[in-house]
Amino acid sequence: MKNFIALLIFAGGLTGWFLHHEKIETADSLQQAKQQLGELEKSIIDRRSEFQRYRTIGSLQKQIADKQVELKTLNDQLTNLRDQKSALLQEQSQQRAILRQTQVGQTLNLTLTTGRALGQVRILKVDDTGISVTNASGIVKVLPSELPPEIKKMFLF
Amino acid sequence: MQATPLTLAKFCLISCLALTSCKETESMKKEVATTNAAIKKLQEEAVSMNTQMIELRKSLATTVTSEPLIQQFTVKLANEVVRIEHEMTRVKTSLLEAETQLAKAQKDLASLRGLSQ
Repeated sequence: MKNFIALLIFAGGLTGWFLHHEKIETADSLQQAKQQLGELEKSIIDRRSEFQRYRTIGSLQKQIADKQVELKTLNDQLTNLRDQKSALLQEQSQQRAILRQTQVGQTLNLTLTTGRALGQVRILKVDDTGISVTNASGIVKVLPSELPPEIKKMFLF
Repeated sequence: MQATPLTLAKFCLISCLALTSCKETESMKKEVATTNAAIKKLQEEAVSMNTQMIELRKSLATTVTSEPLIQQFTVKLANEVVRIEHEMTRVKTSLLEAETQLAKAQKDLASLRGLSQ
């Protein structure tokens, strides 16, 4: 019994020493881990801000690239519309020329907006710059601005 | 040596102290594990940021190295974005005008065609 109690005391002491030692070791490693975490957090804050700056640049570059593509599409659309308009204007001009041509050879009594009376005239030529007519005194070139409104409309000015 | 009440009390005291110490150690071990997990997470974040930053640096001109130059470059890019946006607004306005003019030209042409028929 005496030996058994002695053994129990020895075992208790050994266990106590082991647990105490383990506690100290754990406390040390906790302190080290906390220190490491602190240093890492400090360094990562700077890194994060640097990374954010690079990411902003990357994001801006992407925005520029996307917007340039969009702008190019819009410019292409504009060019296409302008081409269509140009083709329509050309066709309009041709149609106008055909219609004006039907007036050539006709006679009419013409008094200009300036008050000048040309009398009975015969249409010789019609183009965008005006009309050429012949009367008793010869050939006269009349500008569109000199024509009365109804005649202007007739010649599609 | 006999198992007197005093001896038994000593045993009880040792056991209580040992158990308390064991509990504290366990709690600290848990804290160490949590801290290590946080360290690992931060290290992974740092590695990920490094990898991405290498890619992002490639898109920068070799002359853009210092902090003021990076800031200047950022401002330049932001201005470029604004310039392109203005240009887009201008082109959109021109597009609307062109569409209106085209519609008018189509209408005029149709009326001329009507006259020729």
